[in-house]
Amino acid sequence: MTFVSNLSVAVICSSNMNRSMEAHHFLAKKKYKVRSFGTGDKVKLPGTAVDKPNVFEFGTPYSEIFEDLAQKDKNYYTQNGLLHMLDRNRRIKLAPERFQTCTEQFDVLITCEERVYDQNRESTSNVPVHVINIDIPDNHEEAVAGAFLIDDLVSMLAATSDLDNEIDEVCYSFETENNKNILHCIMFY
Amino acid sequence: MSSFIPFLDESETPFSQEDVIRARTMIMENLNNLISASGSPAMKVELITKIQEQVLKWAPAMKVLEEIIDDLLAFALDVHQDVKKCIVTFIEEVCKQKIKMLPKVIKSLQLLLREDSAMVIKRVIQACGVIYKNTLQFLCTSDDVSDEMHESWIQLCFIKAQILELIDNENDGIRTNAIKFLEGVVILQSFIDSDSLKRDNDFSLDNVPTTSDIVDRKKLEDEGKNIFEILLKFHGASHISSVNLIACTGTLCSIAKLRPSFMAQVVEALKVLNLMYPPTLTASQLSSVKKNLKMQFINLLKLPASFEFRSTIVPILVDLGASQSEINRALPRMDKKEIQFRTKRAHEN
Repeated sequence: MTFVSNLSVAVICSSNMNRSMEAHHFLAKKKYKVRSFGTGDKVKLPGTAVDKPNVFEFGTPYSEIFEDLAQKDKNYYTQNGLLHMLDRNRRIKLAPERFQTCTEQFDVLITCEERVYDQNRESTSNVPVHVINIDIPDNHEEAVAGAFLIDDLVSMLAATSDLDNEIDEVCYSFETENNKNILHCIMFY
Repeated sequence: MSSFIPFLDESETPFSQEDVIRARTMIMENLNNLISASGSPAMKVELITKIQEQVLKWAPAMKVLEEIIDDLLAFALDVHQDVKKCIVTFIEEVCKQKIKMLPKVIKSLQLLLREDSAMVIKRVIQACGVIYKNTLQFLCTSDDVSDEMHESWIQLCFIKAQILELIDNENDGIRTNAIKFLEGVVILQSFIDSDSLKRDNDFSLDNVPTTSDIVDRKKLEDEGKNIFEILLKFHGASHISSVNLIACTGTLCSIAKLRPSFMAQVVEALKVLNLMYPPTLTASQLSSVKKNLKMQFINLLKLPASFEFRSTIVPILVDLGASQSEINRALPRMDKKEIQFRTKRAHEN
Protein backbone atom coordinates (compact mmCIF):
# COMPACT_ATOMS: atom_id res chain seq x y z
CA MET A 1 0.00 0.00 0.00
CA THR A 2 1.27 3.48 -0.85
CA PHE A 3 0.91 6.20 1.74
CA VAL A 4 0.82 9.94 1.25
CA SER A 5 3.32 10.43 4.09
CA ASN A 6 5.82 8.45 6.14
CA LEU A 7 4.30 9.82 9.33
CA SER A 8 2.86 6.96 11.40
CA VAL A 9 -0.09 7.84 13.60
CA ALA A 10 -2.11 6.01 16.25
CA VAL A 11 -5.50 7.44 17.23
CA ILE A 12 -6.56 6.31 20.68
CA CYS A 13 -9.84 6.53 22.60
CA SER A 14 -11.22 4.28 25.31
CA SER A 15 -13.02 1.49 23.42
CA ASN A 16 -11.71 1.79 19.82
CA MET A 17 -15.29 2.04 18.63
CA ASN A 18 -16.44 5.56 17.94
CA ARG A 19 -13.96 8.45 18.10
CA SER A 20 -10.74 6.62 17.18
CA MET A 21 -12.51 4.60 14.48
CA GLU A 22 -14.12 7.67 12.91
CA ALA A 23 -10.68 9.28 12.70
CA HIS A 24 -9.08 6.01 11.53
CA HIS A 25 -11.67 5.80 8.73
CA PHE A 26 -11.07 9.42 7.75
CA LEU A 27 -7.26 9.23 7.77
CA ALA A 28 -7.08 5.82 6.06
CA LYS A 29 -9.26 7.14 3.24
CA LYS A 30 -6.71 9.90 2.74
CA LYS A 31 -3.97 7.25 2.70
CA TYR A 32 -2.22 8.16 5.92
CA LYS A 33 -0.31 5.46 7.81
CA VAL A 34 -2.79 5.08 10.67
CA ARG A 35 -3.90 2.59 13.29
CA SER A 36 -6.45 2.98 16.07
CA PHE A 37 -6.72 1.68 19.61
CA GLY A 38 -8.59 1.83 22.90
CA THR A 39 -7.06 1.91 26.36
CA GLY A 40 -9.95 0.72 28.54
CA ASP A 41 -9.98 -2.66 30.30
CA LYS A 42 -12.91 -3.75 28.14
CA VAL A 43 -14.83 -2.50 25.13
CA LYS A 44 -17.98 -0.85 26.45
CA LEU A 45 -21.03 0.13 24.39
CA PRO A 46 -24.28 1.65 25.66
CA GLY A 47 -27.04 -0.88 26.39
CA THR A 48 -30.80 -0.56 26.52
CA ALA A 49 -30.50 0.85 30.06
CA VAL A 50 -27.84 3.07 31.67
CA ASP A 51 -26.89 0.33 34.12
CA LYS A 52 -26.74 -2.37 31.45
CA PRO A 53 -23.82 -1.57 29.15
CA ASN A 54 -22.68 -4.08 26.55
CA VAL A 55 -19.20 -5.22 27.51
CA PHE A 56 -16.79 -7.11 25.25
CA GLU A 57 -13.16 -8.16 25.37
CA PHE A 58 -10.72 -6.30 23.11
CA GLY A 59 -10.11 -8.55 20.13
CA THR A 60 -13.78 -9.51 19.75
CA PRO A 61 -14.47 -8.98 16.02
CA TYR A 62 -16.72 -6.05 15.17
CA SER A 63 -18.86 -8.51 13.19
CA GLU A 64 -19.46 -10.62 16.30
CA ILE A 65 -20.40 -7.54 18.31
CA PHE A 66 -22.70 -6.47 15.46
CA GLU A 67 -24.45 -9.86 15.45
CA ASP A 68 -24.71 -9.88 19.24
CA LEU A 69 -26.42 -6.47 19.38
CA ALA A 70 -28.62 -7.22 16.36
CA GLN A 71 -29.82 -10.35 18.10
CA LYS A 72 -30.48 -8.52 21.38
CA ASP A 73 -32.55 -5.63 19.96
CA LYS A 74 -32.09 -4.83 16.28
CA ASN A 75 -34.51 -1.90 16.21
CA TYR A 76 -33.06 -0.19 19.24
CA TYR A 77 -29.41 -0.53 18.16
CA THR A 78 -30.27 0.53 14.60
CA GLN A 79 -32.00 3.66 15.85
CA ASN A 80 -29.22 4.69 18.22
CA GLY A 81 -26.66 4.21 15.44
CA LEU A 82 -24.57 1.45 17.03
CA LEU A 83 -25.17 -1.10 14.29
CA HIS A 84 -24.28 1.45 11.65
CA MET A 85 -21.08 2.28 13.53
CA LEU A 86 -20.16 -1.41 13.91
CA ASP A 87 -20.87 -2.02 10.24
CA ARG A 88 -18.52 0.87 9.38
CA ASN A 89 -15.88 -0.47 11.78
CA ARG A 90 -15.87 -4.00 10.41
CA ARG A 91 -15.11 -2.62 6.96
CA ILE A 92 -12.00 -0.91 8.38
CA LYS A 93 -10.46 -3.70 10.46
CA LEU A 94 -11.28 -6.96 12.19
CA ALA A 95 -11.59 -6.05 15.87
CA PRO A 96 -11.02 -3.37 18.51
CA GLU A 97 -7.38 -3.31 19.64
CA ARG A 98 -5.98 -2.43 23.06
CA PHE A 99 -3.12 0.06 22.91
CA GLN A 100 -1.29 -1.44 25.89
CA THR A 101 -0.70 -4.69 24.01
CA CYS A 102 0.58 -3.07 20.82
CA THR A 103 4.34 -3.34 20.21
CA GLU A 104 4.48 -1.16 17.10
CA GLN A 105 6.08 2.26 17.45
CA PHE A 106 4.49 5.40 16.02
CA ASP A 107 5.64 8.97 15.41
CA VAL A 108 2.52 10.51 16.93
CA LEU A 109 -0.16 9.28 19.33
CA ILE A 110 -3.39 11.27 19.18
CA THR A 111 -5.67 10.73 22.17
CA CYS A 112 -9.34 11.72 22.18
CA GLU A 113 -9.73 12.56 25.87
CA GLU A 114 -7.56 13.61 28.81
CA ARG A 115 -8.12 10.37 30.73
CA VAL A 116 -6.50 8.47 27.86
CA TYR A 117 -3.71 11.07 27.48
CA ASP A 118 -2.97 10.83 31.21
CA GLN A 119 -2.37 7.11 31.24
CA ASN A 120 1.11 6.27 32.42
CA ARG A 121 3.35 4.56 29.97
CA GLU A 122 6.49 2.96 31.31
CA SER A 123 9.50 3.80 29.18
CA THR A 124 11.83 0.98 28.17
CA SER A 125 13.76 2.57 25.33
CA ASN A 126 14.98 5.97 24.23
CA VAL A 127 12.80 6.30 21.14
CA PRO A 128 10.57 9.38 21.51
CA VAL A 129 6.93 9.69 20.56
CA HIS A 130 4.75 12.81 20.51
CA VAL A 131 1.46 12.51 22.38
CA ILE A 132 -1.26 15.00 21.51
CA ASN A 133 -4.70 15.21 23.08
CA ILE A 134 -7.77 16.65 21.39
CA ASP A 135 -10.83 16.43 23.61
CA ILE A 136 -13.74 14.88 21.71
CA PRO A 137 -17.03 14.07 23.48
CA ASP A 138 -18.04 10.43 22.91
CA ASN A 139 -21.03 10.72 20.57
CA HIS A 140 -21.48 10.31 16.84
CA GLU A 141 -21.68 13.98 15.82
CA GLU A 142 -18.66 15.00 17.89
CA ALA A 143 -16.69 12.01 16.61
CA VAL A 144 -17.26 13.21 13.04
CA ALA A 145 -16.26 16.78 13.92
CA GLY A 146 -13.26 15.39 15.86
CA ALA A 147 -12.14 13.34 12.86
CA PHE A 148 -12.04 16.56 10.78
CA LEU A 149 -9.88 18.19 13.44
CA ILE A 150 -7.56 15.18 13.67
CA ASP A 151 -7.26 15.10 9.89
CA ASP A 152 -6.38 18.78 9.91
CA LEU A 153 -3.72 18.23 12.57
CA VAL A 154 -2.25 15.15 10.86
CA SER A 155 -2.01 16.96 7.53
CA MET A 156 -0.10 19.78 9.25
CA LEU A 157 2.20 17.32 11.01
CA ALA A 158 2.78 15.35 7.81
CA ALA A 159 3.76 18.55 5.97
CA THR A 160 6.73 19.21 8.28
CA SER A 161 10.24 18.37 7.10
CA ASP A 162 11.46 17.78 10.66
CA LEU A 163 8.54 16.92 12.93
CA ASP A 164 10.47 17.13 16.23
CA ASN A 165 11.78 20.56 15.38
CA GLU A 166 8.53 22.01 14.08
CA ILE A 167 5.84 20.42 16.21
CA ASP A 168 5.59 23.35 18.64
CA GLU A 169 4.73 25.72 15.79
CA VAL A 170 2.30 23.21 14.27
CA CYS A 171 0.44 22.80 17.57
CA TYR A 172 0.28 26.58 17.99
CA SER A 173 -1.04 27.11 14.45
CA PHE A 174 -3.56 24.31 14.84
CA GLU A 175 -4.90 25.79 18.08
CA THR A 176 -5.12 29.27 16.63
CA GLU A 177 -6.79 28.19 13.38
CA ASN A 178 -9.33 25.89 15.06
CA ASN A 179 -9.77 27.79 18.31
CA LYS A 180 -9.25 24.53 20.14
CA ASN A 181 -6.87 23.82 23.03
CA ILE A 182 -4.73 20.73 22.83
CA LEU A 183 -2.23 19.05 25.13
CA HIS A 184 1.14 17.93 23.83
CA CYS A 185 4.00 16.10 25.46
CA ILE A 186 6.84 13.84 24.49
CA MET A 187 7.23 10.35 25.88
CA PHE A 188 9.67 7.53 25.25
CA TYR A 189 8.92 3.96 24.21
CA MET B 1 33.69 -6.73 -2.28
CA SER B 2 35.55 -8.58 0.51
CA SER B 3 37.76 -11.47 -0.43
CA PHE B 4 37.07 -14.86 1.07
CA ILE B 5 37.79 -15.07 4.79
CA PRO B 6 37.96 -18.55 6.37
CA PHE B 7 35.09 -19.35 8.72
CA LEU B 8 35.59 -18.85 12.40
CA ASP B 9 36.10 -21.87 14.61
CA GLU B 10 32.81 -23.70 14.51
CA SER B 11 33.62 -26.55 16.84
CA GLU B 12 31.23 -25.23 19.50
CA THR B 13 28.32 -24.51 17.15
CA PRO B 14 25.42 -26.92 16.63
CA PHE B 15 24.86 -26.16 12.93
CA SER B 16 26.62 -27.78 10.00
CA GLN B 17 29.07 -26.42 7.46
CA GLU B 18 26.29 -26.80 4.87
CA ASP B 19 24.09 -24.43 6.89
CA VAL B 20 26.83 -21.83 6.86
CA ILE B 21 27.37 -22.22 3.13
CA ARG B 22 23.64 -21.84 2.53
CA ALA B 23 23.51 -18.75 4.73
CA ARG B 24 26.53 -17.25 3.00
CA THR B 25 25.01 -17.82 -0.45
CA MET B 26 21.76 -16.07 0.50
CA ILE B 27 23.48 -13.15 2.20
CA MET B 28 25.97 -12.68 -0.63
CA GLU B 29 23.12 -12.59 -3.12
CA ASN B 30 21.41 -9.83 -1.17
CA LEU B 31 24.68 -7.99 -0.67
CA ASN B 32 25.46 -8.11 -4.39
CA ASN B 33 21.97 -6.81 -5.15
CA LEU B 34 22.52 -4.03 -2.61
CA ILE B 35 25.85 -3.01 -4.07
CA SER B 36 24.43 -2.92 -7.58
CA ALA B 37 21.18 -1.18 -6.50
CA SER B 38 21.46 2.28 -7.91
CA GLY B 39 19.23 5.10 -6.85
CA SER B 40 16.24 3.73 -5.00
CA PRO B 41 16.76 4.29 -1.25
CA ALA B 42 13.68 2.16 -0.48
CA MET B 43 15.26 -0.81 -2.23
CA LYS B 44 18.54 -0.31 -0.37
CA VAL B 45 16.73 -0.07 2.97
CA GLU B 46 14.82 -3.25 2.19
CA LEU B 47 18.01 -5.15 1.29
CA ILE B 48 19.98 -3.89 4.31
CA THR B 49 17.08 -4.88 6.58
CA LYS B 50 16.94 -8.29 4.94
CA ILE B 51 20.67 -8.87 5.40
CA GLN B 52 20.43 -7.65 8.99
CA GLU B 53 17.63 -10.11 9.74
CA GLN B 54 19.52 -12.98 8.11
CA VAL B 55 22.76 -12.23 9.90
CA LEU B 56 21.30 -11.59 13.32
CA LYS B 57 18.38 -14.00 13.49
CA TRP B 58 19.90 -17.04 11.86
CA ALA B 59 22.83 -18.46 13.80
CA PRO B 60 24.79 -19.91 10.84
CA ALA B 61 24.63 -16.54 9.11
CA MET B 62 26.31 -14.83 12.07
CA LYS B 63 29.50 -16.51 10.90
CA VAL B 64 29.32 -14.49 7.69
CA LEU B 65 29.00 -11.16 9.50
CA GLU B 66 32.70 -10.36 9.65
CA GLU B 67 33.02 -11.05 5.96
CA ILE B 68 30.33 -8.65 4.87
CA ILE B 69 30.33 -5.93 7.52
CA ASP B 70 32.74 -3.55 5.77
CA ASP B 71 30.75 -3.71 2.54
CA LEU B 72 27.57 -2.99 4.44
CA LEU B 73 29.04 -0.16 6.50
CA ALA B 74 30.13 1.55 3.28
CA PHE B 75 26.46 2.55 2.97
CA ALA B 76 26.97 4.95 5.87
CA LEU B 77 28.26 7.23 3.08
CA ASP B 78 25.10 6.85 0.99
CA VAL B 79 23.42 10.08 -0.05
CA HIS B 80 20.00 9.13 1.33
CA GLN B 81 19.26 9.68 5.01
CA ASP B 82 16.93 6.66 5.15
CA VAL B 83 19.80 4.40 4.08
CA LYS B 84 22.08 5.99 6.69
CA LYS B 85 19.44 5.54 9.38
CA CYS B 86 19.11 1.92 8.34
CA ILE B 87 22.87 1.45 8.78
CA VAL B 88 22.60 2.93 12.29
CA THR B 89 19.89 0.38 13.09
CA PHE B 90 22.16 -2.36 11.74
CA ILE B 91 25.04 -1.16 13.93
CA GLU B 92 22.77 -1.00 16.98
CA GLU B 93 21.43 -4.52 16.41
CA VAL B 94 24.91 -5.93 15.85
CA CYS B 95 26.10 -4.35 19.10
CA LYS B 96 23.07 -5.68 20.96
CA GLN B 97 23.99 -9.20 19.97
CA LYS B 98 27.73 -9.07 19.68
CA ILE B 99 29.32 -6.08 21.37
CA LYS B 100 32.75 -7.47 20.45
CA MET B 101 32.02 -6.11 16.95
CA LEU B 102 32.23 -2.54 18.30
CA PRO B 103 35.77 -1.95 16.95
CA LYS B 104 34.43 -2.76 13.48
CA VAL B 105 31.54 -0.28 13.64
CA ILE B 106 32.70 2.58 15.85
CA LYS B 107 34.19 4.65 13.02
CA SER B 108 30.95 4.51 11.06
CA LEU B 109 29.07 5.59 14.18
CA GLN B 110 31.39 8.60 14.60
CA LEU B 111 30.96 9.48 10.97
CA LEU B 112 27.16 9.29 11.14
CA LEU B 113 27.06 11.48 14.25
CA ARG B 114 28.72 14.24 12.22
CA GLU B 115 26.02 14.08 9.53
CA ASP B 116 24.11 17.15 8.36
CA SER B 117 20.79 15.38 8.64
CA ALA B 118 19.07 15.82 12.02
CA MET B 119 17.17 12.56 11.41
CA VAL B 120 20.42 10.60 11.17
CA ILE B 121 21.99 12.32 14.17
CA LYS B 122 18.90 11.57 16.31
CA ARG B 123 19.01 7.92 15.28
CA VAL B 124 22.71 7.71 16.16
CA ILE B 125 22.08 9.21 19.61
CA GLN B 126 19.32 6.65 20.24
CA ALA B 127 21.60 3.80 19.19
CA CYS B 128 24.46 5.12 21.32
CA GLY B 129 22.34 4.75 24.48
CA VAL B 130 22.19 0.99 23.94
CA ILE B 131 25.76 0.67 22.67
CA TYR B 132 27.24 2.65 25.56
CA LYS B 133 25.49 0.49 28.14
CA ASN B 134 26.42 -2.78 26.44
CA THR B 135 30.04 -1.73 26.08
CA LEU B 136 30.40 -0.68 29.71
CA GLN B 137 28.72 -3.91 30.78
CA PHE B 138 31.11 -5.93 28.60
CA LEU B 139 34.21 -4.14 29.86
CA CYS B 140 33.17 -4.76 33.46
CA THR B 141 32.33 -8.42 33.06
CA SER B 142 34.78 -9.74 30.50
CA ASP B 143 38.21 -11.13 31.36
CA ASP B 144 39.30 -10.83 27.78
CA VAL B 145 39.27 -7.20 26.61
CA SER B 146 41.31 -6.71 23.46
CA ASP B 147 43.36 -3.59 22.75
CA GLU B 148 40.96 -2.86 19.90
CA MET B 149 38.04 -2.95 22.31
CA HIS B 150 39.88 -0.68 24.73
CA GLU B 151 40.51 1.80 21.91
CA SER B 152 36.82 1.62 20.90
CA TRP B 153 35.80 2.46 24.46
CA ILE B 154 37.94 5.60 24.27
CA GLN B 155 36.26 6.51 20.98
CA LEU B 156 32.84 5.84 22.52
CA CYS B 157 33.69 8.23 25.34
CA PHE B 158 34.47 10.88 22.70
CA ILE B 159 31.05 10.21 21.19
CA LYS B 160 29.52 10.64 24.66
CA ALA B 161 31.24 14.03 24.97
CA GLN B 162 29.93 15.04 21.52
CA ILE B 163 26.37 14.09 22.49
CA LEU B 164 26.74 16.09 25.70
CA GLU B 165 27.45 19.14 23.55
CA LEU B 166 24.37 18.42 21.46
CA ILE B 167 22.02 19.46 24.28
CA ASP B 168 22.79 22.98 23.09
CA ASN B 169 22.12 22.12 19.44
CA GLU B 170 19.75 24.43 17.57
CA ASN B 171 17.48 21.49 16.66
CA ASP B 172 14.80 20.73 19.27
CA GLY B 173 14.64 17.01 18.44
CA ILE B 174 18.42 16.56 18.68
CA ARG B 175 18.34 18.19 22.12
CA THR B 176 15.50 15.88 23.23
CA ASN B 177 17.42 12.80 22.16
CA ALA B 178 20.62 14.06 23.81
CA ILE B 179 18.74 14.57 27.10
CA LYS B 180 17.48 10.99 27.02
CA PHE B 181 20.96 9.65 26.24
CA LEU B 182 22.43 11.59 29.16
CA GLU B 183 19.76 10.18 31.48
CA GLY B 184 21.11 6.73 30.65
CA VAL B 185 24.70 7.83 31.32
CA VAL B 186 23.82 9.27 34.75
CA ILE B 187 21.96 6.07 35.69
CA LEU B 188 24.86 3.86 34.58
CA GLN B 189 27.43 6.04 36.29
CA SER B 190 25.86 6.26 39.75
CA PHE B 191 25.24 3.86 42.62
CA ILE B 192 21.99 2.12 43.47
CA ASP B 193 20.69 2.07 47.04
CA SER B 194 18.03 0.14 48.92
CA ASP B 195 15.30 2.57 47.73
CA SER B 196 16.21 2.34 44.05
CA LEU B 197 13.36 1.18 41.87
CA LYS B 198 14.29 -2.31 40.64
CA ARG B 199 14.59 -2.67 36.88
CA ASP B 200 15.48 -5.67 34.75
CA ASN B 201 19.05 -5.65 33.49
CA ASP B 202 19.93 -2.56 35.53
CA PHE B 203 23.60 -1.68 35.51
CA SER B 204 25.21 0.76 37.89
CA LEU B 205 28.56 1.77 39.30
CA ASP B 206 28.10 -1.06 41.80
CA ASN B 207 28.82 -3.41 38.90
CA VAL B 208 32.01 -1.61 37.90
CA PRO B 209 35.05 -3.29 39.46
CA THR B 210 37.39 -1.03 41.43
CA THR B 211 40.36 -2.89 39.99
CA SER B 212 39.66 -2.38 36.29
CA ASP B 213 42.54 -1.02 34.18
CA ILE B 214 40.16 0.22 31.53
CA VAL B 215 37.22 1.72 33.40
CA ASP B 216 37.92 4.19 36.19
CA ARG B 217 35.00 3.99 38.64
CA LYS B 218 35.73 7.29 40.37
CA LYS B 219 36.07 9.11 37.08
CA LEU B 220 32.77 7.67 35.86
CA GLU B 221 31.06 8.69 39.10
CA ASP B 222 32.36 12.25 38.89
CA GLU B 223 31.35 12.48 35.25
CA GLY B 224 27.85 11.14 36.07
CA LYS B 225 27.43 13.81 38.75
CA ASN B 226 28.68 16.48 36.39
CA ILE B 227 26.23 15.43 33.67
CA PHE B 228 23.41 15.43 36.22
CA GLU B 229 24.33 19.03 37.14
CA ILE B 230 24.26 19.95 33.45
CA LEU B 231 20.79 18.41 33.13
CA LEU B 232 19.62 20.40 36.18
CA LYS B 233 20.95 23.59 34.65
CA PHE B 234 19.31 22.79 31.32
CA HIS B 235 16.00 22.12 33.11
CA GLY B 236 16.19 25.48 34.85
CA ALA B 237 16.98 27.51 31.72
CA SER B 238 14.44 30.25 31.09
CA HIS B 239 14.46 29.80 27.30
CA ILE B 240 13.86 26.03 27.30
CA SER B 241 11.26 24.73 24.82
CA SER B 242 8.17 22.98 26.14
CA VAL B 243 9.13 19.62 24.57
CA ASN B 244 12.65 19.81 26.00
CA LEU B 245 11.26 20.82 29.38
CA ILE B 246 8.85 17.89 29.48
CA ALA B 247 11.59 15.50 28.34
CA CYS B 248 14.05 16.86 30.89
CA THR B 249 11.52 16.73 33.75
CA GLY B 250 10.90 13.08 32.84
CA THR B 251 14.64 12.43 32.74
CA LEU B 252 15.24 13.95 36.17
CA CYS B 253 12.35 11.94 37.63
CA SER B 254 13.64 8.69 36.08
CA ILE B 255 17.03 9.39 37.62
CA ALA B 256 15.42 10.03 41.03
CA LYS B 257 13.42 6.80 40.81
CA LEU B 258 16.38 4.63 39.90
CA ARG B 259 19.02 6.54 41.86
CA PRO B 260 17.31 8.12 44.91
CA SER B 261 20.53 9.81 46.03
CA PHE B 262 19.55 12.49 43.48
CA MET B 263 15.98 12.81 44.83
CA ALA B 264 16.55 16.01 46.86
CA GLN B 265 17.98 17.93 43.89
CA VAL B 266 15.25 16.66 41.57
CA VAL B 267 12.43 17.67 43.93
CA GLU B 268 14.07 21.08 44.31
CA ALA B 269 14.36 21.52 40.53
CA LEU B 270 10.70 20.63 40.03
CA LYS B 271 9.70 22.94 42.86
CA VAL B 272 11.60 25.83 41.28
CA LEU B 273 9.93 25.08 37.95
CA ASN B 274 6.50 25.35 39.56
CA LEU B 275 7.47 28.71 41.03
CA MET B 276 8.80 30.09 37.78
CA TYR B 277 7.74 28.63 34.45
CA PRO B 278 9.66 29.68 31.35
CA PRO B 279 8.10 32.92 30.08
CA THR B 280 8.41 31.72 26.49
CA LEU B 281 5.70 29.04 26.89
CA THR B 282 2.31 29.65 25.31
CA ALA B 283 -0.80 29.20 27.48
CA SER B 284 -1.44 25.79 25.99
CA GLN B 285 2.18 24.68 26.44
CA LEU B 286 2.01 25.84 30.04
CA SER B 287 -1.05 23.59 30.58
CA SER B 288 0.84 20.64 29.10
CA VAL B 289 3.93 21.32 31.22
CA LYS B 290 1.86 21.68 34.40
CA LYS B 291 -0.09 18.52 33.67
CA ASN B 292 3.17 16.65 33.12
CA LEU B 293 4.66 18.11 36.30
CA LYS B 294 1.64 16.96 38.31
CA MET B 295 1.95 13.44 36.88
CA GLN B 296 5.68 13.34 37.65
CA PHE B 297 5.16 14.53 41.24
CA ILE B 298 2.42 11.90 41.76
CA ASN B 299 4.84 9.24 40.48
CA LEU B 300 7.58 10.48 42.82
CA LEU B 301 5.16 10.49 45.74
CA LYS B 302 4.48 6.79 45.15
CA LEU B 303 8.11 6.01 45.96
CA PRO B 304 9.12 5.28 49.55
CA ALA B 305 12.34 7.19 48.75
CA SER B 306 10.36 10.45 48.52
CA PHE B 307 9.10 10.10 52.14
CA GLU B 308 11.19 12.95 53.50
CA PHE B 309 10.07 15.26 50.67
CA ARG B 310 6.33 14.81 51.18
CA SER B 311 6.00 18.15 52.93
CA THR B 312 7.40 19.79 49.80
CA ILE B 313 5.62 17.67 47.21
CA VAL B 314 2.08 17.60 48.63
CA PRO B 315 1.48 21.42 48.68
CA ILE B 316 2.81 21.66 45.12
CA LEU B 317 0.44 18.90 44.03
CA VAL B 318 -2.45 20.77 45.64
CA ASP B 319 -1.31 23.90 43.81
CA LEU B 320 -1.28 21.90 40.56
CA GLY B 321 -4.88 20.83 41.12
CA ALA B 322 -4.44 17.34 42.58
CA SER B 323 -7.32 16.25 44.81
CA GLN B 324 -6.73 14.91 48.32
CA SER B 325 -7.88 11.46 47.24
CA GLU B 326 -5.41 11.47 44.32
CA ILE B 327 -2.65 12.34 46.76
CA ASN B 328 -3.73 9.72 49.30
CA ARG B 329 -3.84 7.07 46.60
CA ALA B 330 -0.27 7.90 45.61
CA LEU B 331 1.16 7.59 49.14
CA PRO B 332 2.81 4.18 49.59
CA ARG B 333 1.74 2.02 52.50
CA MET B 334 4.33 1.83 55.26
CA ASP B 335 4.24 0.18 58.66
CA LYS B 336 4.98 2.14 61.85
CA LYS B 337 8.52 0.86 62.03
CA GLU B 338 9.34 2.05 58.55
CA ILE B 339 7.72 5.43 59.16
CA GLN B 340 9.80 5.85 62.34
CA PHE B 341 12.97 4.84 60.51
CA ARG B 342 12.32 7.21 57.62
CA THR B 343 11.29 10.08 59.92
CA LYS B 344 14.51 9.66 61.88
CA ARG B 345 16.57 9.56 58.70
CA ALA B 346 14.81 12.67 57.40
CA HIS B 347 15.68 14.55 60.59
CA GLU B 348 19.29 13.45 60.34
CA ASN B 349 19.48 14.66 56.77
